[in-house]
Amino acid sequence: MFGANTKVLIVDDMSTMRKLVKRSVGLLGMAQHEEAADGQIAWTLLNEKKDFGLVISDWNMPNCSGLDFLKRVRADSQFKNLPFVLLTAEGEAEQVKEAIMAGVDSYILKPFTHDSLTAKLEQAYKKRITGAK
Amino acid sequence: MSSEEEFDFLLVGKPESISSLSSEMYEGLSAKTYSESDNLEKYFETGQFPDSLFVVVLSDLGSMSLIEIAQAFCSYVPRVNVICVLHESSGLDFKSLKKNGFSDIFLFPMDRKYIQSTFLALKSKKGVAGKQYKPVKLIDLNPGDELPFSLSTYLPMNKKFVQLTAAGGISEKKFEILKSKGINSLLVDQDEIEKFHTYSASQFSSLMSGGGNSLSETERYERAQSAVRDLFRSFLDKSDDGAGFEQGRELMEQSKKIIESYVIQKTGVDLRVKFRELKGEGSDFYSHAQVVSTLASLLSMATGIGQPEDLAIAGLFHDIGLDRVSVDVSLFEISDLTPEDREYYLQHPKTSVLRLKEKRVTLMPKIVEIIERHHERIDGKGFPDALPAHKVSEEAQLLGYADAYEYLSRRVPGQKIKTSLEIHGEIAGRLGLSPEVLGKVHSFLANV
Repeated sequence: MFGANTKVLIVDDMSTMRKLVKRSVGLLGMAQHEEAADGQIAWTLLNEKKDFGLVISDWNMPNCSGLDFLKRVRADSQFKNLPFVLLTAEGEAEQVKEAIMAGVDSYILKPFTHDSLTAKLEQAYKKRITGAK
Repeated sequence: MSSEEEFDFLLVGKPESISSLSSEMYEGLSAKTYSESDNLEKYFETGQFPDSLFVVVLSDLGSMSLIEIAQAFCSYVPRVNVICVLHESSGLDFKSLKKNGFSDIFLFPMDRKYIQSTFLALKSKKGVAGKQYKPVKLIDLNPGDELPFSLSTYLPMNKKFVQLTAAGGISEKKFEILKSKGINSLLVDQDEIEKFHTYSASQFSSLMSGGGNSLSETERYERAQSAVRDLFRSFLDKSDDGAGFEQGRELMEQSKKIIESYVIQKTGVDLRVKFRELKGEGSDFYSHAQVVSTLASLLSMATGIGQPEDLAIAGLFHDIGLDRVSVDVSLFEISDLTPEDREYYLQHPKTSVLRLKEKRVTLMPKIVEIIERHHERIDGKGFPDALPAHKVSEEAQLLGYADAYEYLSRRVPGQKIKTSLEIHGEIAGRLGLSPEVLGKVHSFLANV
């Protein structure tokens, strides 16, 4: 699983959901995090700080969607290996396929529980470890 | 749910949406209200949740959409039941709301009875509910049979429920008196309803050798209501919009199946008996549609006016355009409606047709005409267009008659149960229908 020193970028236009994710990653020992209300703000934060070890982003957001944000992240060589998990209310095959093609590590269907989020983060972590080997 | 278990009942929504829900519906459940997203966020942040939580979401909270509210509850609270009660059906995507955590979505006032049942079930679990009854059809009870449940009825003049008979049975004499008074349903205590189902199942197992229908009339009625509700939801659900004519064809097939199963009777049915059995049987939006559909097709058969199938279809959908009116119009005088509701109400015959067309349903012009003009009157005082007499067909008048008959036959607290001829007299006196139509119906009713 991602280590306690992993800094998490939480992106969601709804503060309740950001707090929920924050609480969940906190329970997993990851105490460092920053929040952004859309993909545009998240992109700026990512470029300013450059020390994030995991991104958990909502899909449907104003200005810049989670998918657009993911595409920008993957297109930039300095972030192309950054673990990226998408939160989505839609589980349609086409959407999931689009996210996978864009390089998402895992996606979580809303509404989610702490356990389901943990399982998906574990999956994303394993994928990274396997990929790194 | 044990009495020691911690339980919260939450109402979430803007103040006006919360106040629109009658507090009588949830009396005894100690509701906590959340009308601002900040307060709701604070509730989540406490991380302290009861053993069980029932949430009624009545509107978004501005910065939190309906979906976000449901998602947040489902994510934060492990044992939560979140339902949605909405006044506005336009643009409603039932599938999306369900996918995001709502266990059920109700439309107010259409689903008033279902909302009440949900709250009653909850009150019952909490031990704060009064006595609850379920209606059963008189026709499902055999006089002289040993009945393992008691039977009650509602006396509208006295405004109270009375027990007719304790467990044991109903005499032939009492049965005939009830029938002669036009009482078609009796009430069984909710706690004993299983016993009624067991009784009706045993009745039918003994009749099945004769190849009869395996459903009691009570079950048939309940299934019909449920089928009509599902059908109406399909029409009001916007999640499939754009599906085109194929979807419209499927919805029409679904409608015809309902009519075949629950409205138009197979051969050998005595129209008068059937008509009698329908008196006072409408109790909510969906049963109104079902009963009016049946009444209109029966009257068509009995009077020779129009085609029974056309009247059945028109009857089923004549009021679907009431979805925008924020109150149950059966409980209000038109003059008491808000200007907005009044306008929606006056346009509802046209809105009903629009709702069908939105789903690409292909309708015969005659059916469109019957629905659009069922409130037009030959004295030119009808609505929505105040059409002159020659533009109001007999079929449209017949549907208007069935519509009014259903409302007037309901049991109203403080009023005695009306006979069919008394109802006819009221309709003839105030509805503005042609003497020809009224005469044909009267000839039929005189023998009901």
